[in-house]
Formats: sequence, structure tokens, C-alpha cells
Amino acid sequence: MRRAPEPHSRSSLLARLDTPLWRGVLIAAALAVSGAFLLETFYFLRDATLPQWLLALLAIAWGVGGVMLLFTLASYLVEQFPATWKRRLIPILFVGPAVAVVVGYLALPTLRTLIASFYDANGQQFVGLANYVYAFSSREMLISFRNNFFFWLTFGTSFSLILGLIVAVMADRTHPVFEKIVKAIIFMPMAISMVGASVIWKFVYEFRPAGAPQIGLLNALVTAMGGDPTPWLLRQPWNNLFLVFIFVWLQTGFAMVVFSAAIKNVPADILEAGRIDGANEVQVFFHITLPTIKGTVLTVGTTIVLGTLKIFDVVQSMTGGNYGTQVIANVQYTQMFRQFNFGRASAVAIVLLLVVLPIMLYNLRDFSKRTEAF
Amino acid sequence: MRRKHWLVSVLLIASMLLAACGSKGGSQTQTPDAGTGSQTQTPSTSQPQQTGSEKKTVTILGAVVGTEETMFNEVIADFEAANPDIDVVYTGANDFATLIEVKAQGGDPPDIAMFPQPGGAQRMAELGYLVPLWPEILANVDQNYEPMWKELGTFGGTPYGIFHRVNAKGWIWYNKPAFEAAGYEVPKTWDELMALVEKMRGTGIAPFCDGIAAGDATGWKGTDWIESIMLRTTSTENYDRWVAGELKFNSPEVKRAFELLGDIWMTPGNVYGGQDSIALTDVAEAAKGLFTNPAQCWLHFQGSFVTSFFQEDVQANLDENVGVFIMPPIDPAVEPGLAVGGDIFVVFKGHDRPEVKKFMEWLTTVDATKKWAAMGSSLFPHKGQDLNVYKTELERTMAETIINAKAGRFDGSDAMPAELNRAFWVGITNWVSGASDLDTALQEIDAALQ
Amino acid sequence: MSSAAPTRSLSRTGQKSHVKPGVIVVYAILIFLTFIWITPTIGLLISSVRPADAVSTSGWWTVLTNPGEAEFTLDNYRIALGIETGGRKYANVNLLSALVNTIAVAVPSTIIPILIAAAAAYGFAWIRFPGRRWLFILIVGLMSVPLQVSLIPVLRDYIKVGLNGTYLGVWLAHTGFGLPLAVYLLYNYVSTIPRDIFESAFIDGATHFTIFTRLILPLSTPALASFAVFQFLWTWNDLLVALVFLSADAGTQVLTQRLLGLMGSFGQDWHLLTAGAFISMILPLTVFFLLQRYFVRGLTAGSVKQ
Repeated sequence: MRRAPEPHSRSSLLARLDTPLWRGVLIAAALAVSGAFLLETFYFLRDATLPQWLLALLAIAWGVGGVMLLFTLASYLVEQFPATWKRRLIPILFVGPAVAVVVGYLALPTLRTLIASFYDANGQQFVGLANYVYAFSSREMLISFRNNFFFWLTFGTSFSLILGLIVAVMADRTHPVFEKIVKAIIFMPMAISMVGASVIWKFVYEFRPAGAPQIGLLNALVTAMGGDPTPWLLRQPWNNLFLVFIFVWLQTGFAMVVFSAAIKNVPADILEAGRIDGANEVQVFFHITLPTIKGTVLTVGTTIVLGTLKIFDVVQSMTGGNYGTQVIANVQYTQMFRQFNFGRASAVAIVLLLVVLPIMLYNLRDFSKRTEAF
Repeated sequence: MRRKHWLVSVLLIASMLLAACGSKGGSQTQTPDAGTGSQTQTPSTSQPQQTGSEKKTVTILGAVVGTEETMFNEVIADFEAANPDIDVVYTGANDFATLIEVKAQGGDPPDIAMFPQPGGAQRMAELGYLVPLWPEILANVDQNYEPMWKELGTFGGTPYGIFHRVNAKGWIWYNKPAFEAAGYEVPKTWDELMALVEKMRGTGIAPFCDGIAAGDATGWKGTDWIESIMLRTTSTENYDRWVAGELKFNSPEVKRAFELLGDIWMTPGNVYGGQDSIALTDVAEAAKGLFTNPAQCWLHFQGSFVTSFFQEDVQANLDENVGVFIMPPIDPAVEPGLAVGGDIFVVFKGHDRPEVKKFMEWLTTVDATKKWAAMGSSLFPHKGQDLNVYKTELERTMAETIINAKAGRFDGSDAMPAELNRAFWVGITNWVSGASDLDTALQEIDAALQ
Repeated sequence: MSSAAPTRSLSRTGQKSHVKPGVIVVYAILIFLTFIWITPTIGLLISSVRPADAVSTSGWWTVLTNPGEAEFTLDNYRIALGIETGGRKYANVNLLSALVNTIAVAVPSTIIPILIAAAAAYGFAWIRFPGRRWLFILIVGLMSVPLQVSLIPVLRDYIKVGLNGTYLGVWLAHTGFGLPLAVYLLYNYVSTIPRDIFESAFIDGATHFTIFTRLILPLSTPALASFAVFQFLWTWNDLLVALVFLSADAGTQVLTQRLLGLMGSFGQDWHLLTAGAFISMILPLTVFFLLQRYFVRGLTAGSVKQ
């Protein structure tokens, strides 16, 4: 925002105030006032009864504007300090907020959850490993482990990766317009929430008793071919696969797009050389393309594996974890918000952390290697 | 940026903000509800609440939302009209159970909580967050309710909670015109019911519709069946021991209830769509089968709140379309008990101010029931009600049953320890969906408490 | 949607091409997969414009197999958006307010982490200070921590300070959970900006703040946009964080919560669910197709190592 220059008479007064000390004091005051103002408006917005759209608009302006305002003022304040102090403060100004947020929302809570996992439902009594006994031996958790590792991790990841690869490689060989359309359609579910996807897939898996008109696509096909309608979401343990497929439907596009970008980066002359040596397309793929994009496959695989281990929304909205489809994240939610057993919920959360730990450690090693140049 | 420029802008911003702050006196009153106010008349100009007439505020947090919240607010308006110096603010939360839990633990509870299930209130009482009922209100309770309601609000020997709106479970609903046209009689005993079911099976229309699917609460509908059967096959002492987790599920008493339900659920042809359909059909969807064209079934077991699940045109004229009878006695030696549910009101420790007490006492009087009863689909246990206030014969029948019920028990699964309640839901779902046989299912439920 | 199979394969390598049976197979497989991928969504779209009883009594494909008897209506959208309430029954469906809430949640939850992460990425990349490597590893190392481990402690703090059920609480939560990835992606980008671009600005006495706001942010637009798309889709479609921190009352619920609620409480109102699901998809799909390029670039920024 630019404003018209001020009249002359005032600038002389300003000139007298224009010393680092005064500036510092003024800016510090401004900072304090803005902070107070933002707090004040927070309470006002929280308890106001304005039309909802206006409230939302004000809230957005307040949130985004507030962050910008505070950062700007803080950086002005830092500029007023003597050079040695400035050197110490500037990193805090830039990196401090991020470190504070990450420590406050991820690091410390993880420690507190770890502590809470050794206490009872209300955090009053120390119970030792009792919550972990539950987390590793209760039937619900054992079913969850089976589902998370066998169905979700194995099938979810491999299907997404393989289908993503197939589409990426094949579409690469088709007419550009056709390729664009195919990729857009396969990728589209990526933008759909898992809850929305569950609504969509309910219309595929819905079961109606034999004789009644089927409104689920799958049973309509089965009955059209003369079969009996099947309750897909009820038949354990294979019902898990039907849930996994929803996830595959959502994730394949993600894998495909990244693979597609990687495949287009495979140098054409290497491919050509392979073909001249008499390799057929399948051999070219396995001996040249795949090794070249191995790193990408690994990265995407890691992301999808994390997704399968933390899977929650699909199960929560399709079956609520019933019929033997329970998963770890859903047990955590249930223990927390249906049973109010904060001890168990914490232990299950820690189990979830342990499950993703190998991936975390691998990432950490990777980062430390890459930041040695720091 | 030019040098002087920023200084002026800082000053300008500061003065603007100061002006903005100054214009609104510190109104940092911590109102108990977060988010967009569902308060009806808070002035948005954020004036401090102490204006002249010294209105006292009573805050209530409950699980009632949507249309029912509107109705409850109209009931509150009656109280406010009689007590102009008291402002009662009700906040309805979809995730009430979580909210009350964390608010109580965080030391910021409302004055009054309206629990949809006794389990939560009992927890609060055990954790020492609640005020026991005081003498004046106990006098009201003794005078206006059957003793069972006082017992139901008593935890660990101390009465804490009172009831206002309630519901009852164990009803069997039927399509009145069809039922009468077929010449069927309302069964008076379990054996008569089973004979009727036998007769109905021959008609090509299933005797029962049923569905127990309800997201992550799937199974609760099945527990209602077991509870109503238990209240007709065993003593209330046994029922209480069962709810407390002392009487095991694989005991003969509980197993027998499951077997009786199995006679209904698992006899081929008894339930529309069979066991798969029971496990997968939504609770609300199942009720519609009585009135579809062609009808899917003759009977449907459900609590008094079922009417809101029926098709619109059925709801428009309940008395002509819908018939109902309570589940008949099973064991002649057992006086059938009524399975009830309802909103239980409790006051938090340190919040028993005179105006809070006054509102609670008012809830125990008949005056607090009239308005809501007249709006329909709500029942009250208060003695001395004018039953003509209820809109339909159906509601009058049910209200009368509730007012006069001598032996009543809560929905058992709701009052069970949380782990057991959940295991009960899951176990009965596994059993009906064929994932576990009866003995396995019962053992798995029992395992939850080990 | 089927496209005639072209008569020549157009492989990028420009080799001599003649129609191989393989090419036909490729097209066939792709068309088959695409068909499977899009059918459920088409089903949703068709269901959302059918009358309520039609939705629950006959399959949506009957509209295509039996177009003569098909009926269409916009009532589902009218009821879902709260324009009509159909009596008291649907008084609290009102997805329009949930839509507004979702925007109010998703927009700041996207912008705030970008601002904080961009500042941090600049700090890590261009300011030398002791311990920066370990701080960087701390932030980025927490990237795959399941947010479940944070929920209970954070919720308890929120209750204490009155943040539960407020937009601010959810923004900060999303900021916390999204920040590691944001810092990582933006650092990758910011650290590759050639130093000589702002060397001269330093010599002129520009402050870090000026360089950051005037040079780095504009130069990093592609990376910022790519993370923005990613984070926007994530926050828009999130269910767990909303369930935990926005559970206070119906007035602040977002679309995913309302849809889940509709599934749970009105299992029978499928027609509303279809309209609701489609309403919840429109905006992310639009954003996504408009900014597709950035999204892909953002995804491949960290993973495709040259």
C-alpha cells in the first residue's frame, strides 16, 4: 500500500524521533499493540454473531494479515539493534517461528503422548506397560495389524505403484491428446477427499437382498450375470481389499504423475541404444527405464506406504472399523473419542509411530547425508 | 522502501490499532462456547454483560442439535419468561461427549451438562466433578417421578442427575392397515409372538425388518434387543450385575437372551434380506420396510424415536398408519422391566448457584414438559401430566407406559464400562454377520474386561 | 469418451513406426482402466440429480439404459445447500455453511505455513548460524510423524486456552502438521537460487527482510504454488484434524465432517450425500486442474533427483 507523502511540517518532528532507540521503542510498542489488537479481535471473532460468510472472511484476513503484520514489525524491531545483536536475532526471526511450531505441535506432543501412554485412561494412575499389552495383544489391534500390514501396506502400495507405472509407461506411447485425457482422469481422484470417495464407492459396493433391485454397481453386474448379490463389505477378510481399492483409486494418479515426469526424463539415446541392440519394449522397460527411475519409485513408494500405515478416513466412513476392517489409526481415534481412554489412545499412537519409525530413520539418515555440506 | 516512510507507517498502524482497541472496552469474558455463537441474543456490539438489570446467566452444554435444539430453546424460553432475571444459554454440540470430557478436565465446565447417556454422567460423578442433588430438588423428584427415575440418576449411592425428556425401548412397530387387514392380533406373550412370526413367514413377506449399521457405532441396535429380552428373562439384580460387568456374557442368563434373539434373527425367512442385511442395513433405513410398496416386512423392533425414520407420508398421519406394542413378557416369573433412555441433567461442582438450582428444579416440574410434548416426538416421565397435550394416540400410549413404569433400567450397553460397551457392539455385529459363532462372540465380548 | 485408436503410434523417440498389435493392446488397456476410474464418479454425478426415492430404489445406470423413464431434479442440491429444508427434517443439513467453514479453514491453513516455511527455508539456506543443521534435521525429520501422536496433548492445551473449536486452533494445527514438508520442499528450491542474484542487494545495504520479501518470495513462486496446491488439497479434504479440533458445534463443521455425519445419522438420505459429496469436490477439482502444472512440479521437486 502506498500513501501520499506527508506534509513537510511533520517530517521535522519525525526527524528528531528518528534515532535507533526511539525507533526501537516505537516499534516495540507497535508490536505490543498489534499483538493485543489481534488477541482482542480473536475473542471478538470467536464470540461474535455475524453472518457466517463475513465471519469466515474476517477470520481469513485476521489470520493471514496477523502473521504478516507480526513478522514485518518484528523484523523492523530486529533492524534497530546493534550489529552484534542483530546477527544473533536475525536467524531467530527467520527460523524461530518454524522451530517453535514444529516443537510445539510435533516434538513436545510426541513426548507427552509417550508419557501419557504409561498412565491410565485419565492420566491419573501410572499403569506401566498395561496400555502396550492392550496395543499388542487385544483382538482389535491384532486385526488392525493384519489389515494395516497385509492388506493395506502390501496390496495398497503394490497396486498403486504397479497401476501408476503401467499407466505412465503406456500413456507415454500414445497420442499426446489421448495421453493428456487419460492422465487427467486417472489423476482426478487425487483431489477428492477420502470421505467423498467413500460416498462414491458406496454406490459400487451397496448390497440389497436378492430379488430387490440392486443399486450398487458391482452387485448389479453380478446379478445381471445370474449370480447372487454379495455383501462385499461383510465377507471377512476379503472385504478389506474392497476398501483398499478405494485407496488405490485415489493414489494411483499420484504415483502415475510422478513416474510420468521421471520417465520423460530418461535420456532418449539410452532407450534408442537399447532398441538398436534388439531389446523389445518390455526388456527396455525392465532393463533401462525401471533402473533409471528406481529412486523415484522408492520415494513414491515410501509416501504411499506412509499413507497406508496411517489410513483412517476410508475405514471410518465406509465401515467404521466393523466387520473385521479395523486399522491402527481408527483404533486410536476410537479409544480417544469414543472410549475416552487417553492412556490406550496414546499407546496406540505410539505404536503407529513405531510402525513408521523405519521410514523416519531412513529419511533422517538421508537428510544428514545431504546436509553435510551445511 | 524509503527510510522515513516506514516510521510513519508504523506510527500510523499503531495509532489505528490503539484507536481500535480503545473503542471496545475489554470484553474478554471467557464464554464457555467456542466457535460461532449459537447463542441467540448476544449483542454483537460486544458490550460488557453487566448492564443495569444484572441478568444472571446459566450455561448448559448438551448433545441435542438441529431441530431438537430449536425445540429445547423454546422450552427454555418458557422458563425465562417466568424468571426474567435469568438468562439460560444452551449450546448443542455434535461431539458433546468429547467436549464435556475435555472441558471438565480442563477446569472449564458449563453450569449444567445434559448427558444423552448415563455413562458419561456417571464418569463425571466418579471423577468428583458433580454436585449431588440438594434437598429441594429431591423433594420434587420424589413427588413427580416414579422412584426408578431417582435410582437411574444415582451413582455410587448418591443422587446426582434428573430426567426431563426420555425415550423407551422395546417397542414392536407394525403397519396398522396391513396388520389389521390380515386379521392379526397383538401378541400377549413371547410364545404368541413366535406363533405370529411363524404365521407371517408363510405370507411371502418377512416377519421382521432389521438393520444395525450405524458407522462406528454399528451394533447398538442389536444391544437394544438383548437388553429388552434380558429385562423379561432375568431379575433386575442380574441385569445390574451384567451392566456392571460382573455377570459374564457367556453366563447362561445372557447366552439365553442371545439365543432367543437368534430365534428371530437367524431363522431363515424371518428377517428381510437375512443376516447379511441386518449387519449392513442402516438403523434408520430398516424402519422404512414396513411401509414400502410392496412391503418388505410386518414388524420392526425399535425405540420410541423410530417415528422420525418413517417415510414422510407415514409421519404425516401416525395414528392411522402406525401400530405399536411393547415386547411381550417372556418368562412368566419375571415382571417385564422397561428399557429407557433420556437426557440426564447434572450440575458441576462449584456451579450450584441459586439460578442454576432454580432451573434444575423447574425441569422436574410438569410445567417444563408441556411445550415440548405438544411439539411431538418427545416423551416425559413426570407424573400428573395432561396426556392430551401429546399430539397422537401413539405418543399418549407410550407416555402412559413410561409414566407408570415401576421397574426400569437404562439401555444397558450405554451404562456399561466403555470397553465392554464397544465389545458388545462389535460382538453382536460379528455374530450376526457370521464372523463368529455365538460362543466365540460371547467370549470375545467378555475378553474386553480382562 | 472413447477415442478412435490412431493408426500410428507416436513414440517420442521418433523411430520409424508401423502399427504393431502391441499398440492396440496399449490403447485397450488404457481405455479399460480409464473407464474403471471414471465410472464411479459419473455414477455419483448422475445420482446427485435424481429424485430421492429413485436413488435408493434403482441403480443410477438405469438413466442410461432406460432414458425414457429417467427423472432429473436439482432438489438434492437445494436441500443440501440449505436453500430448501423440506420441512424440519433437513433443517440442519445446510452444507452451504460447511462450505464456507471449509474455505475459512483451508485458505489460512495453506497460506500461514507457506509464510512461516518460506522464512525458515531462507534462514536455513542463506543465513549462517550455529546449530542450523540440527534444527533443519529436527524439522524435516519430523515429516513422517503420524499426527495421531500429537492430538491428545494439543487438544488438552487447546481446551485450557480456549482455542478448541476455533479456526485459529485448526490453522495452527494444520500449520504444525504441514510445516516439515513445506520447509523441506521450499528449502530445496530456495537453496538453489544463485547467490549473485542478491549479492548486489546486500552490498547496497538491503536487509535480510527486504531481500526475503522483495527477491526470494517472488523468485520462489513455482515452489510456493506447488506446495500451496498440495497443502490446500490436504486441508480441504482432511477429516481427522477437523474431527478433533472442530468438534465443538455444528456451526464450525467442515464438509468432510458433515458428510460423515450425514452417513452416520441419515444412512437413508443417500440423495443428499451424493449432492454433498459433489459439492465438496468442485473447488478442489477446480484448483487442481488450474494449477496442475505446479502440483506435478512440487511433487517431483524432492523426488526426482537429477
